[in-house]
Amino acid sequence: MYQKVVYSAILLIIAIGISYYNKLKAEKDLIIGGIRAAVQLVLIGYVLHYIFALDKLWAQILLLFIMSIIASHTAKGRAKEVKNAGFLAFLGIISGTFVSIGVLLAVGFITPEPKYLIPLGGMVIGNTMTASALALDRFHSELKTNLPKILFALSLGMSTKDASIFYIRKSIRAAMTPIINTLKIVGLIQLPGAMTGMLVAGASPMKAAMFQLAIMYMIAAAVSTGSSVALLLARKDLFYKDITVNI
Amino acid sequence: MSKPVFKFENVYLEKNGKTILEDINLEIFPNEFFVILGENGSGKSSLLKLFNRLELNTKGRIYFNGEDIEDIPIHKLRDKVIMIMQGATLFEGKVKKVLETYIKKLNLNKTPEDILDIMGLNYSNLEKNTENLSGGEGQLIAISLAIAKNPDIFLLDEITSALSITMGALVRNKMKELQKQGKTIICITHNMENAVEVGERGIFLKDGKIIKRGSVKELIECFGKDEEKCIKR
Ligand SMILES: Nc1ncnc2c1ncn2[C@@H]1O[C@H](COP(=O)(O)OP(=O)(O)O)[C@@H](O)[C@H]1O
Ligand SMILES: [Mg+2]
Repeated sequence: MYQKVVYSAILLIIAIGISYYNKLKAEKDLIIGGIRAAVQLVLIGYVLHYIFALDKLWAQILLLFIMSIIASHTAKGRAKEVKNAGFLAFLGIISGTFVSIGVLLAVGFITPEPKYLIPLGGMVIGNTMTASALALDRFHSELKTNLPKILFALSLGMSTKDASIFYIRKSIRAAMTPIINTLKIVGLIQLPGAMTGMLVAGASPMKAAMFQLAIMYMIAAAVSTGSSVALLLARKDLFYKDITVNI
Repeated sequence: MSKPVFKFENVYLEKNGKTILEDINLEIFPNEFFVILGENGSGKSSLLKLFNRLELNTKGRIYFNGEDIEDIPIHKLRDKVIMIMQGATLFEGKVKKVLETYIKKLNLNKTPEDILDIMGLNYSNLEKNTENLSGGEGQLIAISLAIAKNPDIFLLDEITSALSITMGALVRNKMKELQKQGKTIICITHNMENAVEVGERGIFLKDGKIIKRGSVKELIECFGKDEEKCIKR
């Protein structure tokens, strides 16, 4: 297995070759990306190996926590114009993860073991990160483009909550669109990652399908919770008290 | 002389490290038609927003009926002081639904038809989308909403700029009528006939500073002149 994976590098070399012959100038990026991917995956493999062997709940939670921090940092880069975007996304990610993984644990679909918590946690964190960043960025730009409308509503005496709810809704909906679209077509065009992984590992197709279904629902819950939390907190920042817009 | 409704004392507005308004001292009296003139970017809109706290001054004090504006609960202030801006300021959607939203959220005891009646707009507008209204129609609806709230003071930021001569006259007459009813009007306009016809007293702003106070006729002389010349006159 370990030796054979080296042969898979042939595939990367094919991609590099295609880039070279077509003058795509992507060779350097492919080489760097390929090496980075290898290093990152080996590294995470080692860390996970250690955490699986340790089999302590605190270690798993610590790992998820660190993943959340890295994810928030990424979110910060994506929603550049929003003050505190990293922190807001972090709170969104934490709450999205807590709610979705919490429910799966509570109903007994999964047990607090590394083989469940780490991969599912990672998936939830990644998806909530993308959603929170998208929601924050969208909300900020909605406020900016619709500033005259919001100011007029405030001027008439509307609360900041009422004056912005329309844009909060739009932004949450935007953050949820990817998962909604995925829910609609999942399995029709390609098999999703988790299901593929389980099939490769020898699970029965039905079991893999059911697991994938729960994962999709989990992501839907996490994404809506996470983006709502991030936005409602962002609103406090983007409006000065209940008085005016602060962007 | 009666007591001022608004009093500005050494008011500054700074934004992102830039001084937008500098040492503004100002008194507005009840039932006045007060005009703010000045070149583009001189700070007129920013100044007007200070009156109902859409902008927050960084230095100085603003008093409304003798009370520090910061001590007045915001909804009480905005029950009495409303600003109307130029342009598309209504929420998106079908006019009827949008008006219902404003009516509900602002606790106006009115129907969408009542709102359109205020400026004599046709009810067929209810079926249109706010984005598809002409600039004039949208502006008149915004004005109607403000009037429906029955404030004491109207802050008007170039509200006749998008209007035809007929519609502009309609708005001007409405504002004069409101003044007769005892309202105070503070307005920014680029329409000088407008300013001369309705305005009584005002200020001329340049680079965030008041460089002249006086009658509208005196103020108009300031356009295109530098500070010294304007002040000497
Ligand atoms: N958020 C902001 N940050 C920095 N400068 C601003 C901001 N908003 C407005 N300004 C500046 O303040 C000045 C006054 O603007 P404004 O009050 O709109 O002027 P006017 O209404 O007279 O045209 C302008 O130079 C404008 O560029
Ligand atoms: Mg202006």
